[in-house]
Amino acid sequence: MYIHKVIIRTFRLLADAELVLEDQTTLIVGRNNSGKTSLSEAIRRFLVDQNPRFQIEDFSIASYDGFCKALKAKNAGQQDDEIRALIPSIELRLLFRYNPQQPELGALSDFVIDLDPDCNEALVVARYELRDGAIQSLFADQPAGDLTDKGRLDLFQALRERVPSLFVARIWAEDPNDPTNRKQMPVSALRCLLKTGFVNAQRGLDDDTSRDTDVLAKILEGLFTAAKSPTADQGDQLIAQALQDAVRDIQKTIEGGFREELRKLIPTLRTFGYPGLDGSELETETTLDVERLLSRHTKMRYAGHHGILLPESYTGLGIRNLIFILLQIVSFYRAFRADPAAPGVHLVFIEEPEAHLHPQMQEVFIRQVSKIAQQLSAQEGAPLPWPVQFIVSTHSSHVANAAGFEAIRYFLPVSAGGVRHTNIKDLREGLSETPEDHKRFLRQYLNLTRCDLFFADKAALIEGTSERLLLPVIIEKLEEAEPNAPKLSSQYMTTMEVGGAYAHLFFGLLDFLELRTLIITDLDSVAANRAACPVHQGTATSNACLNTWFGDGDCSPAALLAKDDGSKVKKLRRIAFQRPEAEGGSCGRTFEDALMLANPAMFGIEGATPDDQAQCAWEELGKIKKSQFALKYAIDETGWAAPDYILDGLRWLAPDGIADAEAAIDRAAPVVDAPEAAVTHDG
Amino acid sequence: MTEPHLSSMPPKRRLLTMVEAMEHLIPAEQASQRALAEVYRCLERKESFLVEAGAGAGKTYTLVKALNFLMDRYQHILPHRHQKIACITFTNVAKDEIDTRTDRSPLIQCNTIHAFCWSLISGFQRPLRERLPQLQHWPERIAEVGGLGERPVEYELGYRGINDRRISIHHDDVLILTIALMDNAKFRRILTNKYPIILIDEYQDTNAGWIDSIKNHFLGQEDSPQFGFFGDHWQKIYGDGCGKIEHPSLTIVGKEANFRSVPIVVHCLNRMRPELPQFVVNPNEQGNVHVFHTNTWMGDRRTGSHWGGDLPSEAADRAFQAVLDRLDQEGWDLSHETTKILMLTHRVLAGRQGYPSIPAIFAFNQSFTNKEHPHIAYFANALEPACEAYLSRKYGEMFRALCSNVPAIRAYNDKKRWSETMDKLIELRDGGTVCDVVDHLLVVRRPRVPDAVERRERELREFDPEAGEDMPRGLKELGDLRAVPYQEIVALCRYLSGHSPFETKHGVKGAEFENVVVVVGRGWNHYNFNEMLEFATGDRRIPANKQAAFERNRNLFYVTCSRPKRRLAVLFTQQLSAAAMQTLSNWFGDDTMEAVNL
Repeated sequence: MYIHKVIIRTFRLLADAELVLEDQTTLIVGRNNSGKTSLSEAIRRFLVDQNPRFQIEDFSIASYDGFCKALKAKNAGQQDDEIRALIPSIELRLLFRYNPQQPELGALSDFVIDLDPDCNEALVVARYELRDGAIQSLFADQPAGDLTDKGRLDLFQALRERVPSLFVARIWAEDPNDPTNRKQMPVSALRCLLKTGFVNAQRGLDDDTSRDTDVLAKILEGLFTAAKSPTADQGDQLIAQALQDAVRDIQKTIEGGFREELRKLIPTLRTFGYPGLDGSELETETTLDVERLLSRHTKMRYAGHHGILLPESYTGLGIRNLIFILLQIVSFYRAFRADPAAPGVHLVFIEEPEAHLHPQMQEVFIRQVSKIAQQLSAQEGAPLPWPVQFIVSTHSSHVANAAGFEAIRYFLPVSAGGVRHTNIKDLREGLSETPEDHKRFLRQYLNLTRCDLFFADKAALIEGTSERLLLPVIIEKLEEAEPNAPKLSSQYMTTMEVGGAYAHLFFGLLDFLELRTLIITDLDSVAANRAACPVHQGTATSNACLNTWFGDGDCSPAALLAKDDGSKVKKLRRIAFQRPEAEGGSCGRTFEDALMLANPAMFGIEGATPDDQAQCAWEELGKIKKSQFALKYAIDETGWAAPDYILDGLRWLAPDGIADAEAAIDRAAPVVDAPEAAVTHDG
Repeated sequence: MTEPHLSSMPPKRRLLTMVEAMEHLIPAEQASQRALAEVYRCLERKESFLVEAGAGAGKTYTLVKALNFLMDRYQHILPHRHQKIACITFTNVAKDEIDTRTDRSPLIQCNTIHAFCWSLISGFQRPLRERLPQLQHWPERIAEVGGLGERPVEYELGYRGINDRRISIHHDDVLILTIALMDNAKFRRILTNKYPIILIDEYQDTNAGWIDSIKNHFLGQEDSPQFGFFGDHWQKIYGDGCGKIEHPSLTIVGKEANFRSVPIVVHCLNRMRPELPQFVVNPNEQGNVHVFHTNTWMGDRRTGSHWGGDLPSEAADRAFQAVLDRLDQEGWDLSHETTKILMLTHRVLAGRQGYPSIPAIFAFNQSFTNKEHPHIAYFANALEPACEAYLSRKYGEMFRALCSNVPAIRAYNDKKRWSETMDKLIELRDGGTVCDVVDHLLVVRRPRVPDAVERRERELREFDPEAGEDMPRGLKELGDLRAVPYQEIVALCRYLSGHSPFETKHGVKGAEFENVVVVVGRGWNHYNFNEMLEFATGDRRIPANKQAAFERNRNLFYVTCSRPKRRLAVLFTQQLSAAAMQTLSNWFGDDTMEAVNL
């Protein structure tokens, strides 16, 4: 049994987000502020909090209108059921899948309310909604008539207090094929079914100021508690028993000598001479328990030299981080084993496991995490396998690429009418049309090059080293020349050296990620015999990307040069390739000769006709070494002008970014309403 | 090999040996242990089984032992898998007993069959609504409200009805719907999932249709829960029970013990039922068995299908008295505490039972024997228990007995008023007539009488005898009832509630008494014990259409005869044929049989 799908509605950015989970490890990626943490937070609120509560701020902004509409409906005297239907509610829907052949449904059986033999799913809905009969109270004292701007403010001011007190969490089982067929369930039933574990990004490991740095020792205590339970593994129980016995022995020693001594310290009450106190002398009792010994008086130490043990905080943060996560996973497993009633699914969230880890370690971690779960149940001879599903959120391209993109869910914030919400993109589903060999290429490429496609605002696909080295310089130049245009330098742009032969394989992925991408490629003109030649001599192009982009039409250099800008844009992609710097001028076939032709004096390009110039550049090109050429002009000699085709492309790429960093800061600015605090901080 | 002498052993060992030795000597205990070992073996092997435990065999002991065994074995595994052991009892009383004896363990879901079935099906609202229209009594109700819509199906009320908010189903519907859902493989899987082990108490009285669906869908098949049936098909006395369960996959465990009765009684039972011989606790215990017949009566017997062959009332009373005298002479203690009189007849020995005038009032005995008359029902179910509770100063119990028809006590004065009216009621109860009591209640309305009673009283008051219409039978009966001294009602209620030397047939199952006098006669359609005894000779095949009737008669006779611990007397007021006499002599022995001297 596993959770196949999680749907969250009306919770912060997750206005209507659907997340399909892998049966083992699902990776959540996305830029900052794209709703990744909201996912675990919503599940935590419903499943862990004793009494789930949400604030008005937790409702998606898009839903606010619902409150206004409901108030309007109420003022118009509509029926209660119609008003209720308009009032927003926060919803978590969990779709479980079970194996029809699996003999035991366990905790899920109470949630199976259909008798359709073809249905192997069970849907659990948790909803934070207005209490029965509370419509009046929710909108009490709100003015009748149309809602003014002031009335709106007042309404939400009132809702801020009323939502937490008038809304309640409800759980029900819903027939996956018939939403009208549902069965109310107690919150506890869901907790029985789904156990959760959270490894937060804030692990307190790097917090040296806190008194309680021995985070790992705390975990020991948890492991002991789990080992004590009757359902724990036999070996664990023996260990727990041995610990308890040892402590009991100490206790006995204390009761012998120690207590005698203590008694002497206590003045006998008789000395007070108070009549009623005769015969009631004070005794002392010292009790020890294993839990407290572990949490208060046991420290994790690392073996050092000469018998000196190093405290926990003296090892590298990376190692501590890794040990911490692994121990957490083990303690989750032990807690699962110790649970007298086995949960159907154990959902473990791990936030940013990459913290303080170097890249190779990150990759190893994500590859191992599913195996750890299997090893744990295999090692300890468990009666039931551990039904764990990991949800790992990460900002690391190493983690993301190593996991493989089928496991990746991409959180994409989009803006509709000024209101942002998150779409969750499922790469397994989104790329299902892509041929298998293309997918293999993408997987390999992403893995080898550690590209950070999943975290970028913009992407540029380029041909080679020259572009990679010179592109930043070109951007700098462009922004200097056009200071009022949107700036690429303030955005997170990823540059991928793909080359015209493969760039088109990325189109599907780029479209799916809705990433604004510039593909900088080369004309790569070839003669009839398929040999490379200057553009004016060419009859075709060997560039697969161009051939794909412009389809089966005429892809001769002449035809390509005649293409208008409109045909160079598809969806969120734009293609850029060489063109003459001036009407009817000479045209380069690659980036390097295009750069030469754009700066003929600097590179000594001569020729009477444009064709002669092109020929000269072509010959010049044969003499240079590309990497040296790029380094020279990127660092030493930057007095050149950039080829127009690249500038055109960059001008297209710069604007219109959802996560345009400056714009984001602008939006965030009004929130900072304590300037003096900021000032003191600066000082 | 010689046993070491007891006195030479250490004390603890000596005690153990003595206990072993004693158990050795108790044949019933040995038989019981044999059965229990067999049950454990079945539980180990996860085989379904059936424990046939005759009268007095200690069936509940075996059931509780089986539950203890399972609890011990699965105490961690079951909760870990969110599973429970289901234990299905026939009555709420039995459920309470099992609950108490298993310390209300959360491992065990003990319920009556209706509660159990409802817990299984209540989650499947849509399938329930789909199947409801195919049930009897429902199409017309559904048509009336124009379809079931999305109303939830509920069972709390126990009667059929559809209103705006819900559909309320009847007890019978719960079972029929469960049986219908049993056809669905997914439902069966969920059932097996939740309850891998299902023990059923009093299997013989469990709904036949439900047991059939268990046989069809579960027994002997993979993915079936393990079933354990506990009961005795010879003690089936309820109409819709399944009786004997036969299935090749069931291991039958006979519990050949009788912890209740003395050997002389058990030997009679063993002769009645040779296929399940019982061992007694003490083979040397003395007892007494008599069979009295009235075949020497020379006068006319009654005729008709109900009463044919029985003695006239007055003669039957005399015969009964003669038997009592005879037993008294022999030294029986005939006090209420030790001797129970069980009536296998609708004959009312009304004079002796303390309500001589009541039987004559009603055209049908069921009016008062089954509490079908609303007045009798109110007296027996609410008013009398309340008065008894008031007299013993158990006021909480009193209000519980009166349940909803009670104005609440809101102030001290209310309390005073209650006390005054109840005192008055007790006074009228002792010395007044039914009329006095009812009129008092109608005036003070404390406690309030039910609407049905009030309506009848009003109808009687408003009936105008001058209008020339004949008084309806119901009103005439009520008029006559009002004239009866209320003390007769008290006696009737005691009889009905089992607090009298006389006992109704359904009250006796599971009960035991020191001495029992069984009075066998006619007066009902379903029973003719002479015919049963004729068939029991085994000389001729029982016709197929008589088989059910034969078993019904035999079972009731077996149940009543197995109640006494020490002494049994059976009086037949109906005429017995030679064949029937032969059966009696085979069962009870010639020396126990004698004619009543009339």
